[in-house]
Amino acid sequence: MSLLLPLNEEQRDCLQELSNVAMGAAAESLAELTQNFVTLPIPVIRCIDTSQFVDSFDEIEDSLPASVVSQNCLVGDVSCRAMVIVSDESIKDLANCAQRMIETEEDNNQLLKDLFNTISDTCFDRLEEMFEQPIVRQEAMIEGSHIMPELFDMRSIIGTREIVAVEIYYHTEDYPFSCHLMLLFPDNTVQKLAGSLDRLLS
Amino acid sequence: MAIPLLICDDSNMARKQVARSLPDNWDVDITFATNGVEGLSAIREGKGEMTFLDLTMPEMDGYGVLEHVYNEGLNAMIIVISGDIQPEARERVKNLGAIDFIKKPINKEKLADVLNAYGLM
Repeated sequence: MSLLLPLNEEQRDCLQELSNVAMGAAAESLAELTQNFVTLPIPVIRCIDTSQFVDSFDEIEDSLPASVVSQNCLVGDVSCRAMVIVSDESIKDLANCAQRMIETEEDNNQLLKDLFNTISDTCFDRLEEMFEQPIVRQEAMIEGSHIMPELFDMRSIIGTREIVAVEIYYHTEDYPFSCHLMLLFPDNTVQKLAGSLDRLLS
Repeated sequence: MAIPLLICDDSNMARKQVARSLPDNWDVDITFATNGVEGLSAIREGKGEMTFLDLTMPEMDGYGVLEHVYNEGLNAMIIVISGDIQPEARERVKNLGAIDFIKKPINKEKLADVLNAYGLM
């Protein structure tokens, strides 16, 4: 399902290492929220067709119905979108371990946003330090709740055919909570991303 | 005599960052490893008396390396350099025998502080 990655090996390695550090810091925030140890895998970087988004990630297909929260950002002059995907089951698990009540859709959405902000605030703080560039972030949006695979239309959310996706699948060690954090770079920003990575490497 | 020093990290960029952060006058013989399996082999060959070890790696992660070093009684003084900054991660690596933990990204000052604290330079 993956397309040819439009980054050279040095750029890919640099992006993976920056993501590893930023997403690792975010894992600490997630561990505080869930009161559990978060297992931290290596971030995966792929170029994917947005029309095959769900098929590109095994765990997402398995975790639907799910909710999606995203946020447009500008890292220096590189636009990207941060996205958290979490299954309905995991939101219930999160509510339990964070001692939150979910009685209404509003409660559910607030917990989704809190989860997103907990992870993304830390992640972007670290990225801002490492890129040495200000990061401008729009308000987080709930793109959809309780979505089934056939309604998971990532192309309309992202707006381009191809994206470079940095993805990490967090899961807690002794508790059945998991979620995906992604940084998505539309194909029309990849050249600028490559330029920023080259600057860091030089 | 130069100290056999191992830098074990799957990222080329991270390995270079560690190498650049070493004290200028430190007499070391550096070996690089790109995953835990390579790193453990190097330690078994005596190339990692001083080891800088990442945690999140393919093939075998840093925890796996620490477990093997501990269980086999290998001669390696290990400092973990990782982006996984959960307090629990620090505690686990110390319980597995790592002498200290440095948060990524590394720089000369952070590394010098730790090496000085243990009288290693």
